[in-house]
Amino acid sequence: MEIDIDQIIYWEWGFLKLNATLLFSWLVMLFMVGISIMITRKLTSKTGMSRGQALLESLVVLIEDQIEEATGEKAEKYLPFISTLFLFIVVSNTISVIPGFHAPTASLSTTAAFALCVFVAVPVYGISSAGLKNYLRFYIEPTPLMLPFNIIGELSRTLALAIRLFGNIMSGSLIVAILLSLTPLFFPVVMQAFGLLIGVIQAYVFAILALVYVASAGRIREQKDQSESNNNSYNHQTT
Amino acid sequence: MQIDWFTFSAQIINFLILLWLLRKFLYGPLLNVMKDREEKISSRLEEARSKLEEAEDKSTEYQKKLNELEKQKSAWREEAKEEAESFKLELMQEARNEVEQVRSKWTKSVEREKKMFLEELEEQSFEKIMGIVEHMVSDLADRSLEKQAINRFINRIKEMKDDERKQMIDAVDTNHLEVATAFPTEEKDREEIDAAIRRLLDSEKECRYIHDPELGFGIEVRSNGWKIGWNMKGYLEELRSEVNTTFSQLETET
Repeated sequence: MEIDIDQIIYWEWGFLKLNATLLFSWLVMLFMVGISIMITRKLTSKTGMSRGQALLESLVVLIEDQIEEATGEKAEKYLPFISTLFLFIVVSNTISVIPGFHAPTASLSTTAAFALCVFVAVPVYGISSAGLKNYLRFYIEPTPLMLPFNIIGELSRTLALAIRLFGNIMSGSLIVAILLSLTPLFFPVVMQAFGLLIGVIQAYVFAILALVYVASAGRIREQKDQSESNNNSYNHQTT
Repeated sequence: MQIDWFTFSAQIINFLILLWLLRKFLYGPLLNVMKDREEKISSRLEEARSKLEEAEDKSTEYQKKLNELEKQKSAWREEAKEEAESFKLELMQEARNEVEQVRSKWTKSVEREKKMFLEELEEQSFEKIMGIVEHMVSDLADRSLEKQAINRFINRIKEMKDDERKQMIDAVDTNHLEVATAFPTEEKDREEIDAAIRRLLDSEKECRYIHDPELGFGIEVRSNGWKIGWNMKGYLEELRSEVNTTFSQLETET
């Protein structure tokens, strides 16, 4: 019983190696890109569109709606990053129901890599929307004393993000594996279905959390603007 | 459970590659298409709105034009009515004139007809009267009246004035002396007449006696285009010429 799919190695040459995580990641990527190309090849802006286009469009609209709901901003900026995360995780989690397939997200390396991406994306988005100075000022507010706590908060939430996804997906596979050894018939099927649900929910949770973190950085400027305008109005009243 | 750093970094790279690929193949085209569609729809809506505005403008414009037309129409109708009224009056006047003309023509022709009729009537009645008179006289003419006519003739010859007599003697060819009577004469009468003529002309020649009913009633002496006598036809001719003169005078007056 292998829990860590990083350890399933198909090919190795010195430093380079091809393990299950990478192989299935590539398969998932290939699948996603293939589907995208297939559908977007015959896109039309007219009314009579294909079913695939309708599905993709409604998916994109759904994600956009979610993003706008969570951030209160235009979805365009966050859409590629958040939806790539979401779609990759969803597809990865769901292919695990196919026998012989391993979910790349069951590897801590993958989830950690995604978490790092989010970790990097937060300041990138923050700086792009608020500017470097304003973004950095956020860490020393309300007082410079808060700097270490802010940094720790930033790190810990990223770590939590990685562990949460990894734990859930890995545990799903693990539970199935354990139950399979106990009751070989029927029950694992139910657990597989359950695992499917959990996989989708986890993808949603991961994406939403990533979005919230990224958007919170983008909101710094807005808060600042708001407080400034409040101060101005207060000044006007007092004078 | 541990993080495999090679896999970790490879997954980051994988993620970035996927992000790029999906951006290129999925989000880009899809968002473009959706944007296109939205633009199309909004442009169509805009177009529809502008068309609606245009249509409303046109509608008000047409309404205005319609009102103007209505106004003009009523004006035209009024004008046409007036024109028709005047035309009617004109036509009526014309018709009246025509009727007047026809009537006058008719009246004239009636007048003419009347006149012609009257003339013919006059002529015919005159002829008739003449005929009746002639007939009456010839019916009434008996021996005594004939005798009377001969006596009247003889008296006339006797009462003839000298210059008249002389004129007669100059004109008459005594060899061809002819006495015409409307009635047959008797020997005794002829002798008396002969005697009267001999006395008048101082000649011994005898006259030739002829019976001429054309004279109607009376007696006549003819010779060489000259004649003298007393007869009804002469009177009647005189009367006719007088009547004709009167008629022609009447005609020239009308």
